[in-house]
Amino acid sequence: MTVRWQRALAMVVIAGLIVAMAGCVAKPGTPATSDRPVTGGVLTFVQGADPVTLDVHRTTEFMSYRVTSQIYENLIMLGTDGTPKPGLAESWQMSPDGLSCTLKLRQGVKFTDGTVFDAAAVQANVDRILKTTPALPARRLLADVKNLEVIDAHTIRFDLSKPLSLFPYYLSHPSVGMISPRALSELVDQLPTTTVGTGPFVLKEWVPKDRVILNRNEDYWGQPAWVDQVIFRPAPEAATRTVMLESGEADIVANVPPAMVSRLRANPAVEVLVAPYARVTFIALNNYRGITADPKVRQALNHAVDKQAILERILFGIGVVSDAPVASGVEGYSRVGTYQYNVARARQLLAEAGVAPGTKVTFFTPSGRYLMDYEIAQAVQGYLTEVGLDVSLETLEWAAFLSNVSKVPDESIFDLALLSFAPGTNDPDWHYSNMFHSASWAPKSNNRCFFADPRVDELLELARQKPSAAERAPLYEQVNKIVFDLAPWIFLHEEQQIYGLSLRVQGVEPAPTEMVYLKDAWLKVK
Amino acid sequence: MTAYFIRRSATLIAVSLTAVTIVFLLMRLIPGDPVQIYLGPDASLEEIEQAREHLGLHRPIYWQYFRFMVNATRGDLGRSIISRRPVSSEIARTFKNTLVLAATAIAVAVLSGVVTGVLAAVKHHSPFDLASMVVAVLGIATPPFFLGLLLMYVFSITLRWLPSSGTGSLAHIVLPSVALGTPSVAVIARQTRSAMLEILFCDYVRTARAKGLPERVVIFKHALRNALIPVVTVIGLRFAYMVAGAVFTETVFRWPGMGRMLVDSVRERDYPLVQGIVLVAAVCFAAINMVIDIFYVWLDPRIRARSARAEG
Amino acid sequence: MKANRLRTARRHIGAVLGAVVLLMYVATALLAPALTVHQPNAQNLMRNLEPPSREYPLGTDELGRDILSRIIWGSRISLLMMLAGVAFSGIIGVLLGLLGGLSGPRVESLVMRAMDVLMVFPPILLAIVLVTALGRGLPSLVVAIGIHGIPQFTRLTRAMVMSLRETAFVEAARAAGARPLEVAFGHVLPNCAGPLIVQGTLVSGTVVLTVSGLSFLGLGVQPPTAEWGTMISAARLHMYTYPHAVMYPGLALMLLVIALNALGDGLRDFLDPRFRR
Repeated sequence: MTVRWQRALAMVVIAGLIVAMAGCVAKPGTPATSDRPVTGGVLTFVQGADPVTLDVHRTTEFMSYRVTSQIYENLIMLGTDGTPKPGLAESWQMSPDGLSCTLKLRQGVKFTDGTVFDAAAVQANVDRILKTTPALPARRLLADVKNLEVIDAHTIRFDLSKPLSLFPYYLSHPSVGMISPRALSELVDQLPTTTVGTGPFVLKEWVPKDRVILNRNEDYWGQPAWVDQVIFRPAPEAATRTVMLESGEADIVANVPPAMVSRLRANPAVEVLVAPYARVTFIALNNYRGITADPKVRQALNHAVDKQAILERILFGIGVVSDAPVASGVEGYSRVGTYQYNVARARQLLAEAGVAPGTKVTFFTPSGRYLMDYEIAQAVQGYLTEVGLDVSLETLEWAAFLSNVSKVPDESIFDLALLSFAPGTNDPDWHYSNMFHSASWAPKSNNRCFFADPRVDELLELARQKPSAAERAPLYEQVNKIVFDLAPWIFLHEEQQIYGLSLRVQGVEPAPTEMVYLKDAWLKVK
Repeated sequence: MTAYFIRRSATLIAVSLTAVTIVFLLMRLIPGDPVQIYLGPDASLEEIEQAREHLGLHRPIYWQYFRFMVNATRGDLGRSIISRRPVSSEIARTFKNTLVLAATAIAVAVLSGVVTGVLAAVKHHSPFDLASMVVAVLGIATPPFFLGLLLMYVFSITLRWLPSSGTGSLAHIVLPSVALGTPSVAVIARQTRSAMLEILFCDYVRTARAKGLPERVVIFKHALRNALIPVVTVIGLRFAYMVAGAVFTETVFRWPGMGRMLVDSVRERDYPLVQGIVLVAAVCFAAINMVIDIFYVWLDPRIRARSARAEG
Repeated sequence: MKANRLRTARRHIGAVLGAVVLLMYVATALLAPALTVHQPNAQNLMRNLEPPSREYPLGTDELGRDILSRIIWGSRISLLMMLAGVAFSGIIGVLLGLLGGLSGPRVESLVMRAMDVLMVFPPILLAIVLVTALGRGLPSLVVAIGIHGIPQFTRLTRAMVMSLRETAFVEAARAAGARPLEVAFGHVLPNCAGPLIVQGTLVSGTVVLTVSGLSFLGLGVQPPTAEWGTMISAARLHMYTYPHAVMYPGLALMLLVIALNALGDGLRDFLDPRFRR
């Protein structure tokens, strides 16, 4: 090696050291601690996608909700504990027969265009939701509303066409936010990009696919927000989100992949927030046709998959193995159990059901839609191969996947499909009726595995009428047992929400529906 | 030349319309329903039917096609099914961003590519030739998103010199344009080198040298201009490739461009948006091709003579 | 004289090295069963993302599969796909280019306009649509990757034919009564070979990269098939935490691309008639 080369090598090493040192120096020191919220600062929130629309009655996914729920408020808000809390209504009362709900509205609330919030404003919103054609997505939530009765300027009553004691939950869904009645009559075509709400923030600017900037609503009826400004930025690539957090360009990043948690935890400049989530991930088995129409086969498949291993190794232990057909934070949950990972038992059950080794099954999975979907599906494929099935795994992009699992039973083409579900309102009926009621069979609704059991249908309808959680609990407990035994799914796990936060962010507590209300967030000053 | 230009413009329109027609049909052939995507997996059948009717998607395909074409000739590309914003404004916004990114990236690529290629050819088979080609090839050999994540790691997390992603300032464009341009550096450098080598062995270059002209004049005035013919083709192709293939860079660096929007709109089956993007992209690519062809004619007297004959 | 020979030797050393590496890849692909201890698809979830060890020389991937075995078995798919993709676009492209360059202006314009239509299609759109319509198999991927390479070959071939067809030797061949096909394949094509080979080598490298790009969009080969592009794309989530999972398949891919380029470069020097004198 010549002297020249050695010198060059030395230069490279030194350059590397400088880079490494610069990295160390650049890390900010620990900020001064203070526990009292302070006003001021700009908070940057990074999530996977841009909102689709800001017209709250038209929104259908949580990337939009996270933005609109800072601007618009509901009559009833979902608390971070997952139960209904007062919002624009101070209090409410469900009638004992579950057929009507009376709400007392908050007084002294104004929309940001100066319009007063009162019963007439609610009436205007409900009218729009129920009467617009084609149907607005928000109509799903008020589908059972027969009539809205205005009792006085600050008292209203919803009359329902059939008993639904869980109705307050429905009013807390982000897509039934209250829009200014004046905007509804004058700006209705501009609502996708213009907002007039009562919430703690107002829209300043939306540059689609780049940023949404919200300013504090100075005239907010309650305690105003602490931060001056919130900027939502979309970053579809998960690695980009974590880079933005680590480089100081983001204060909160949502949907951090579990694989990156260990790295973020090792970085003293950021912290990881893991919060409960109402989402369950499962493999829907075709209960209508094919070998999976036999409950014994479905039980066998449940025994064949090591859910604990999937949770620990693919989700890095973040989440909980499902021990009921619903997430543990949702009302109606009761622990039923798990199918033990037992290959011998699985093989035996398959043999008893007359399933020959090498039987072909078709397994659909979306890719990049649900948390680690592609990896989980491959792991399940591996486990099912172990018990002798010939699994053809087909990864589809979301649109094709959705259309393939939305076919009528006789045309259904899957044996297994990876799915994930979280009730948008966090209420049990939304979850159970969508998942297990025979009236919800695809393509009508979300019962994509074609599960049907008359006892379950009856129990679910009974539960809708019971006015209190205590009275509903035993009914849902029976449902959980029946569903567990008939195993319409391969039960996998319930997810947890993972956020990355910069150390200066305080007061962030996500609801189990993935909502993050930034009203209470504040930034520490160094 | 004018007649040639007019004829090419006519074919440009024909080509673009053919492309849009094909896309129109293809999009409706593949499984997936924009309304289902827009309304989400919780939508009821009734809701979906109503929305389809409202959007005219229940009508026969020829009717939809005819309506699209008639409106398009009036400059109305319709509204996105998902965002409900006018397709033309969606495209105008993202196309501008993509053009800025691609233009910066192609400038990076052409500058470093042509210089590297010329130097490598002049110093044919020297260590510099070898080294530059190896580096260039490393550039092609790296998967685009991989390069992007690497650049972000070094310059945004470790060094904190540059913003990792997004738009806003001049500094924001540095990383994405380097990531997008790097693979093309190699392609352009290789083509320049090959073409230069070929030319440097030609008689007229030898003559120029024999006349005692300085090497720089020989290389840049005599050799480079002729070597440029295939190089221009490649640059044009790479530019078109960048405009269309920026999706990885745009995703990693969350650059609000048209590549990402195209991929999203195809996945969401947002028919009007896909059709609009393809129409605009088609016109652009066809225009780029036309410019390349005109460049050919301008650069190569032999082709010029032939096209003059064809006109006559 | 001696210096000249030395230069010739140096010129070929890159090509020889490239050829040797390429042969090693082909041998690896052929001998995959003999070279691997683990099954490429055998997963052991409890031991995923392990760093290189004696048992797993290159570590394990996100599902606990042996990365070395997957790279070795993956070479079959990656090489096959590369060859098929390049062959698909090369053969169709060159034939159309010759047709366009050597027949009358009407055919020429028809061919070139067809190529224009193909070119103005954003390649990603073509790939998504084709893969969605035909399913995520190898054949549809090959078509999706190959189809947008066609116009490049066609245009290149035709551009060269345009400058060749007026030359003395082609006109001499015509005058000597050679039939059109003879002119095309006997006289024109050999003289186009150099740039076409340069193009071919470059394209073959990018083909594998395109597959990794498609995997990035969730459109790669169907799991659990081992294929480098898909491996790289799937492991990118772990790039900052478990870099080995993305590094080794990445190196396999990059080395192949570099070898292809060195080989193509050497072949070009050798094949191009103007360089042979």
